[in-house]
Order: sequence, then structure tokens, then C-alpha cells
Amino acid sequence: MTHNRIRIIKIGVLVAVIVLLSMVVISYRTLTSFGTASERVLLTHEVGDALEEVLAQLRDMETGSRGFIITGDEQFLEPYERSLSSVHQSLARLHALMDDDPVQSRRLQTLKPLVETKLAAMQEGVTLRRRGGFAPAAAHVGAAVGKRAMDDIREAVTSMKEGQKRALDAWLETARRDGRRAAAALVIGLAMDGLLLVAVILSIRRDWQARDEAAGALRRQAAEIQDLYNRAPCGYHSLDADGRIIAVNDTELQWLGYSREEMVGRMKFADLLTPASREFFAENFPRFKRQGATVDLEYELVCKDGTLLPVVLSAAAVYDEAGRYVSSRSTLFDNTDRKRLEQLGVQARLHAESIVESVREPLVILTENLRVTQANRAFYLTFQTTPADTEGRPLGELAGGAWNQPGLLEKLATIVPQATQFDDHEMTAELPGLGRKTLRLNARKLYRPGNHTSMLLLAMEDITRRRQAEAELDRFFTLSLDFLCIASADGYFKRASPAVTDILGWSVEEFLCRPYLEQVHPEDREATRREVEEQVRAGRKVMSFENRYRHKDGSWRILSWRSVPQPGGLMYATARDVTESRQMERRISQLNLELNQQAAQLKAANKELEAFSYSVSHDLRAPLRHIDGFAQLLQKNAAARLDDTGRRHLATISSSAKNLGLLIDELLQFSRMGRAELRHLRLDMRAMVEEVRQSLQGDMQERSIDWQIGELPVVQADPAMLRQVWINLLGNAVKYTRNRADTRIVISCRTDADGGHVFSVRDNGAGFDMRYVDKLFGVFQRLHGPGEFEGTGIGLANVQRIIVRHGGRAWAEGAVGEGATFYFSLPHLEPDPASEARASHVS
Amino acid sequence: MNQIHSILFAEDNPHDVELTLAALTEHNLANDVVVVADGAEALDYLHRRGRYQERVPGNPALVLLDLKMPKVDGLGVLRAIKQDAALRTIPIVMLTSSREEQDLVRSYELGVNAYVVKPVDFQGFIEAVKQLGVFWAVLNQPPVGSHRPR
Repeated sequence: MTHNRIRIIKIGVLVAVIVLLSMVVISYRTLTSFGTASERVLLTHEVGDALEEVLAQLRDMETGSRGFIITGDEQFLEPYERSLSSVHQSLARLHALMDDDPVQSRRLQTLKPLVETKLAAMQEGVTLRRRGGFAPAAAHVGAAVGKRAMDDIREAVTSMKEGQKRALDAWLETARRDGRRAAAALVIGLAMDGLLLVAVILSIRRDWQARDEAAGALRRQAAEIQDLYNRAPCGYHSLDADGRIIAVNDTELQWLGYSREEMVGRMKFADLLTPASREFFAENFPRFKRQGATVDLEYELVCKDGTLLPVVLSAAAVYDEAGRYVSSRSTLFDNTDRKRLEQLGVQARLHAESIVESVREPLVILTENLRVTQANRAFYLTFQTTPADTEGRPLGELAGGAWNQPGLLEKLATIVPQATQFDDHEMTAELPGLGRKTLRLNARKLYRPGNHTSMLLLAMEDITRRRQAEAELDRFFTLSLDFLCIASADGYFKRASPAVTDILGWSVEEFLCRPYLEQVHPEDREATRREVEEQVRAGRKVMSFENRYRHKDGSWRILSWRSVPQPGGLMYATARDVTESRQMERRISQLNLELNQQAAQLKAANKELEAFSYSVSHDLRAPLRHIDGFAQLLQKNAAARLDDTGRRHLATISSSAKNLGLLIDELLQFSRMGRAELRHLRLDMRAMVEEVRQSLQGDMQERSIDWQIGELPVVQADPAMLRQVWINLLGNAVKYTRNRADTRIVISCRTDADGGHVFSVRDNGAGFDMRYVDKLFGVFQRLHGPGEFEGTGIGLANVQRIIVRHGGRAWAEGAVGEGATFYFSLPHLEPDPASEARASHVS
Repeated sequence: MNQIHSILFAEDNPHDVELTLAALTEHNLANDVVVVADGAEALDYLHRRGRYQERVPGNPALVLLDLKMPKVDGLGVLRAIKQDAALRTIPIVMLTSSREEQDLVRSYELGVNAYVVKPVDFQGFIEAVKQLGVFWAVLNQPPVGSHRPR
């Protein structure tokens, strides 16, 4: 029931009581009013009576007085005398009755003098009679003073009676109205009260219903709890102090096969136990009663059909206020499954142990105080130790204290109390017989069933080699002359090798702390961004990309990048500083450019020279030819007309012209030899020498010359040029042996160390002074005057030029009067197939 | 002088003309030679125009061309002759003082029949001309329409 409703009910009841009280007041007042009304009626009647009485008395007095007057008999005066005293009494009574009515009192005041007047008139009649007898008295009566007074009195009385009646009527009217009002108020009050009471009753009824519902819910809850109790998946029972079963749930009954009637109050718990369990129970029950609780005790129950049921029992004791044991509340769990699981656990442990044994990582199992209980085979193999040296010993003492590492034992020690674990603890230790090893350790807490203790599993991995490899990689990374780096997708370098400091001046930290694009030359940024995006998008390697990076000193260095993208936007890159080589390349290309320009200039100069030579060959030779020709014509047509001197002059003109012509020809040839393109063709030197020798036949005339021509090879050379060489050398040999009777010219060839050929032409002619050997091959240099031997001084210069162009060398040996030997060498050239073909085509 | 000449000789240098004619005279060929001073005139002769408008029709048996000539040089005349169907059968000898290989190559490319370097030695020159003159103008059977010297 709600608080609100209680308040409403309270207020309702209060209002009803107030209404009732009001009704009581109204009723009282109405009743009082009715009392007053009857008093008023009585009063009115009393007033009427009193007034009638006054009238009656006055009438009696008048009657008496008149009897006396008529008779004079005193006897008649007796009622007069009686009424005279009573009239005043009646008037006093009236006065008393009308005391609280001012109108009637006023009327009474008018009545009183009238009465007095009447009384006085009658008194006078009486008096007159006594004194004067009948006549005066009759006159007096005849004067009717008394009658008028009486009439006035009657009128006053009537008026008073009517006034009294009117007042009564008016009052009664008011009283009746009040009575009606009170009746109406009573009816309304009753109705209100009735309604209020109905409302209150309804409210109370609802309250009762709610209470009924709550009670129903409580009952249902109780039933549910009972149901829960009965159908719980575990057994419940309660034992009294004697161990008698006083309550048991359905589950336990079902387990055991008994009915509740058979068990409750009749059986003791001990009756359900096997002998062994009974003994255990006998031992435990008294202690339980004292201590109030017991947990996870294993009992074996005997069912009605004789089967055994292993259970685990936990119980709490219930005590009364005096602390006396009342009953137990025991919970039983069917332990059959757990027993089976324990069986399975044993198997699982064997399974786990075989895994532990076969696992390649060394494992040790430690007690809570870090003593080794067990280690696997891999442990003994890895650390070259035995179970005898290991099991039962504290971890810190193993391997000569190698495991006594700062941090490790503490870390392990926190695992059990704080239920933590750790992974990847790295330690390096000097292990006896193994050297320095780096190990990675993982530890876990293990629960040991049965005795509720914990153990630690410590797994270790020998990562010495991996660490070494990493260290080597790291060294490689650190020592690399190339700048190695890993760029990540966020635009920063994730890692950079120290070479960056050599190349760009920045420390690695400085270099890593800002986006790499910021460090790229502004003109190269766009290209760099594109390159990176392209590379990441296409996943292709970049083999050569160059951009400029800022050196710490503010200069720009050209870096040549090679990089490989990796998934996730990483890029592994190497960079090489190519600034110097780029500068070198620029200088080289600059030089090349200059060289090309020079070559072009040279070419132009050559061209000019060619044009000059061309012009010379035409224009210089023509007049010479004319000089000679006309000299000849003159000789032919006019010789007879000239004297000897004239004829000699003519001959001189002719021979000079011829000499000049020869000189021009040879100069032109010399010039041409320097310019003409060199063609390397297959050339049989023996055949060529023979041919040239034949061509010189004209110069030899009748001279007998001993030609000794040795074995001459086939070479790769320019035939026209080599012919010129042989013509010059053989020509010289023939010329300078002219004065010898027994001329011998020896032509031979030997092969030098490089596979090249050295040809020589030896003669036994005039020879030359070795002091002037340097002059032999110069242009226009001659060691003999034209008187001795004719010549232009160009031949050997030409020889040398041709040989040098072939990559060889020309030189000479000789002595005056003992002949000369001229040598030239030709380097070995592999036959060129193309020139082969040309040569065969030419031949 | 015959109206029909057997040899057309184009040479601008009067000395060379005189020497050559002297050599030809020695071999009784001079009367069959028409000398023109440049290539343009040589072409006028061959095409019978200009001052040669009135000449007797017929091609010469041989044309001797100097290489270097005013107006149209020897190579130009050679090219013009070899491109003209009516003329291209006339034997052409390039007679020049040049020993330059490029001239020789160009001449043969254009279809010259012989190329003779004028020797300074006049005897050699006479010999060369004599051989050519004898060969082309005397011994060789000229094509139809040409005239053999008598």
C-alpha cells in the first residue's frame, strides 16, 4: 500500500469526522431551538392566561364592586378584595414573563396604568357608596369611567395577546426555517460522509487487495524457492544435532532412491554412508557443529538399490540465539563426473608431459619458491646438464648461478601472487660449457589440481644466433657507405643508417624527425612525390632515381636512389651521393662539348685546307705545266735559233718547272695522307713489295741490284697508303745505292712480343750520320744536297705519317758510307670480317 | 675546215688550249677539233643553239672536258650530256690538272668514259691525249650519227 493512499484515507476519515461533528452541532442547535420553541409557546400561553387572569380578576372586582354599590352589602366586596391583591400578582407575573420582550414590556407598561385607573375607579365607586351611599356611587358608575378603562384594558390585553401570538408565529417561522436548514445540512452531511466512507472503504479494499497480491507473490516465491530447493541440480539436506535428516530435496531423494517419508525424521545421514565415509563423517560432524562450516568434503553414499554415489559435500551450520546448534544446511554435488574428469586429467597430464618432453624449446617447471621440479629433455640437451643437477634445486643456483639474473627471479616471483605472466624477457648469460647465450623467456602460472598449489612454467628459446645475425645486419646497416633507409607511408623515414651524416651532415635523429619531402630540393619534390606514389601503387622497384637533398651546411647533394617497396607503404631504399660524379659528368660533357667544337673547328680547318689543296693542285700546277710545255715547244721549234747558253737556260726552265711540279704533288699527297680516311683491308705485303719493286724498274735501268726479300706477312692496313710507304722506302734504297756497284737491298719482317710486325729495309748505300737521325722524318728535311741525290724531303715524313696513323712507329739506323736500315712497325689487328669482305671484293 | 668536227674540246685556259692543240696537231687531229671556252658554250654547241645554231647537225665523236671552267664546269657539262638521251652515247674524257680523288670519284659517278690528269710533263700529256684521240676519234667505231675524222 502506498504512502499516498494512506494519506488520502487519513484525510478522508478526518473530513468525515469533521462533517459528523458539524452535524452533531447542527442537531444540538436544532434540538435546543425546538426546546426554546415549546418554552415560547408555553410562555405565550402563560402570558395569555395571565392576561385572561387579569381580565377575570378585574371582572370579579367589577362584579363585587357593583354588587356592593347596589346592595351595600359588604359581602359583595370580598371577591373585590381578593382579586385586588391577585391583580397585582398577575401583573407582576406578566412583567416577569415579558421581561425579555421589550415590545410586550412596553405594552405591559401601557396596560399597567389602565389597570390602575380601573382599580382607582372601582375603589372610588366603593368609597362613594360607603360614604354617600348608592346614588353617588351609581352616578359614578354612570359616568362610565370604569367602563372606558375596562374597554381600554380589554383592547390592550387583546393587543398584547395578538402581539404575543405574532411574536410566537414569527419566531416559530424562524425556528421552522432553521429546522429545515438543519435538516438539509444533515442530509448533505450524511451524504458526504457516506461518500467519504465509501471512498475510504474502497481505498482500504484496494489496499487489502494489494496486500493479498503481495502475499500471493510471497507465497509463489516461497513455492519457487521450494521448487528450486527441490529441483536444484545438487542435493540439499539438513541434519539436526544427532545427525538425523530433517529436510531433504527431491534431487537428493532421486539420487538415493528413497521417498521423503522414508527418510525425513527417520534416517540419519550416517545410515547413507559407506563404512569408510561413515568413519570420516563421525570424525567431521562434531567439528562441523562447533566450527559452523565445512567445504568440499568427499563422501561416498549408498543408494537404496545399493549403488555407490560419490559426492562432494559443503555445509553451513544454523545456530539459535543462544548459540546452540540447530541444524545443518548441506549441499551435495554428484562427484561422478569430477572423478571421471580427474581420470581424464591424468591422461591429459601424460599427454602434456609427452608434448613437453618432445618440444624443442627447453622448458622447466618451477615451484612457487622457484625450485625446479621438472625440466624437459630439450632443457638438458641445450644446457648440457642432468636431472640430478637440476631437479629440486633453486633456479638461481643452476648453471653456476647463470640464472641468477637481476630482474628475472623477481619477475618470476611476482607471477604466483599477482597472477601475472611475462613474455619475451630477454637475458644474456654466461653458461658453463656453452659460452655467452641470449635467451628469450616466457613464463606462465600453472594450477596444480588436488593440492591447490601453483607452479610456474618457464619456456626458453635460444636466440643467440638470431641476435648475432641481427647484430650483423645492424652492423651492416650502420657501416654501409651507402645511405640505407626505410621510408614509411606517413612521409617520414622510419630508419636511416648513419651514412646519412657523412652524406648530408644531419644526425640520424635530425634526419628522422621531419618529413623527407621537406628535405628534398623544392624543384624535385613533385617528381619525388610522384615517384614514391607510383612506386607504392605499382609495387615496382626503382633502380635509379635522382633528387637533391639539403645538406646541413645548406648545400644540395644529388642522391641516386634505388628502392624496393614493401606492402604497407614501406620502402627500403639505398641512396648514394652522386654529386661529385654528376659534377664530373657535367665537366666531362662540357669538355666533350668543347672537344666537339674543337673537332668541328678542326674539321672546318681541314675542309679549308682541302679546298686550299684542291685549289693548289689545279691552279698552281697549271702555270707550271704551261712553263714546261712552252719550254718544250720552244725547244722543239726554236732550238736551232738559240745558242748553247740559251738552250741550257731553256733546259733549266723545263727541269725547274718539273721539280716544282713534283714538289707540289708530293706536298699534296702528304697533306692527303694526313686527311684521308684509313681503311683497314687485308694486304699481302709480299705481293705489294714485289709490285712496287717492279714499278721502280725504270729508276734502276741497267743497275744490278741484289734484292733479298724475306717472308712477309699478310696484314690489315690501308693498301694505298702502304704502297706509298713501300714506294718511298724502296725508292730511297734504290736511290741512295746508286753509287754502289754491288747494291744489296734486304727486306724482312719479324714479329714482336705483342703480335705486331716490324718491317725493315736495309741497303748498303750512302747511309747517314746518326747524329741527324731526328731530321730524317721531318718535312723538307734532307741530309743530302740535290747535287748528290735529288728529292723533295717529303718522302720519309710521309712514311712516318702513314705508319703513325696505322698505330705503328717508324725509325732508322745508319752510318755514313755504310748504308741505312729503315724500320716500321704495324700493330697486330684482328681481321675485320666486313673489311675482309671488301678486300675480297676489291681483289 | 670541215663543217663537221670530230672532237669537242672545252677549255678556258688559252695556254692549255694551245698546248693541247699543238699536241693534237702533231697527230694530225687538230683540224677535227672545235674549241669552246666554257661549259655553257660546250652545251650550246652540243644542242645547236646560240652561235652554233647554224652548225651541221650531228654529235662529235669525242668530248674533251676541262674540270674547272667558268659558267658551267666540266662536271656540270658531263651531267647534262649523260642525262640527255641524244647525247649520252658520246664518249667523254675529263681532262684536268686535278689529282684530287674526289673529282675522279664524282666524274666516274656521273658516267665519264675516261679521266686524264694533265701531266706537267708535256710529253706525258701528249701521250695521254694521243692515246685518247687515237682510241676514241680514230680507232674506235663511233656510234651512228657521229663522224669519224678523215
